[in-house]
Amino acid sequence: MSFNVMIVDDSGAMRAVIKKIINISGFKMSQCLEAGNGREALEKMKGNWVDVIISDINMPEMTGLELLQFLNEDPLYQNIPVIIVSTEGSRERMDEVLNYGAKGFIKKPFLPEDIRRVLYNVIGVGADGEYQEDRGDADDGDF
Amino acid sequence: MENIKKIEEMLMTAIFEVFEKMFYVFTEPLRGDGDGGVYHMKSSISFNGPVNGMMEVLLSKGTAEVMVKNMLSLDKNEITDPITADCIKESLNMICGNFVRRLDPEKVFLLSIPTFEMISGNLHRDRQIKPHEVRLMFAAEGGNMEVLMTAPEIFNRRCAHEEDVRGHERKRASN
Repeated sequence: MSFNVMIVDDSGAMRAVIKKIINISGFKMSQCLEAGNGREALEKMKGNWVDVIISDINMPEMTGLELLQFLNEDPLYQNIPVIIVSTEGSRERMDEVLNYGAKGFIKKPFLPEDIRRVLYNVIGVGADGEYQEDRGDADDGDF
Repeated sequence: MENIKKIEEMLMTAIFEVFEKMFYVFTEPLRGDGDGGVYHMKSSISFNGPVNGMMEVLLSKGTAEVMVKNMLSLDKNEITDPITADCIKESLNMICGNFVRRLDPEKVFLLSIPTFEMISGNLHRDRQIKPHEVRLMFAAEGGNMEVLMTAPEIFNRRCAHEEDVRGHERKRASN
C-alpha cells in the first residue's frame, strides 16, 4: 500500500528537504503534493485524495493552525492525520495544536530520523511500509 | 553580565543546532569585537511574545552556497538566488524559533516572515554594539557569518532584576 502525502510550507527548500527525507526513508509514497500555505493546500485537495498532511504553522494567507481548524470541522477531511513541523514548540502552542486535532509534532531543526519516526507512527506503518496492527507506545513526537 | 552570557549561550546553541542538523555546517565562534568579515547577504526576522526583539543573520556567499548545497543536495550550478534566499530565510526562522523556545519554553512567540536582501560588505563593521544587543560571529565552511540580536526588553528585565537585588541587599545591610 502506498500513500499520498501533502507537504505544506511556505519555504520551497523546506518542502524539498521533507520530500527527500520521506523518499530516502523508504516510505511508500505514491504522490507528493506541495503547497505554500493552507489555502493552496485546500485547493489542491479538491482534486486529489491525501492520506497524510505535513504542515508548517507560520505561513502567509492561511496558517497551519487555520488549516488544522478547517480540516477538523469538515467531515470529509477530519480523519486525515496532520503532522505539524514548526520552529514553534512552546507548551502552549503544542497544547493548541493538539486541541485542533494534530497527530504529531516535529520541531525544526529536525533530523531525518525525526520525520521518519513520527510519519511512520502517525500513519501506522512499519519500516517495511506495511500496516502495523500494534503500533506500541507513542514516541515523543506523537500525541 | 551573567545573564548576557546565558543569552549568548542560548543563542549560540540555537545557531549550532540549526547549522549542524539542517545544513551539516560546523561553525567556529570568533571572539572579540573585531571585523567579522565580508558578507554578501542578510536576512531579518522579528519575534513578539513575552519579550520582543529582532534578529539578523549576515552570510558570506561561500557559506551560503555550502548551506544550500548540503541542505538540498544540489550541485553548485543548480544553486540559484531564489533558492539561496529561501534557505537563508528558513535558517534564520529556525535559529529564532529555537532561541525563543529556550528563552521561554512555556509561552508562544510569534515570528514574522523573514526578509532577505543581497548586501555588499560588513554592515556591522563600524557599528558599536549597543548594550541591548548580542552579536555573535562565526567562521564556517566557505566563509563566515554573524548573528545580531536586538531585544531591549530582555536586557531591561535583567537591569530591573539586578536593581531589585541591589535594593534588597541595601535594605538588608541597613537593617
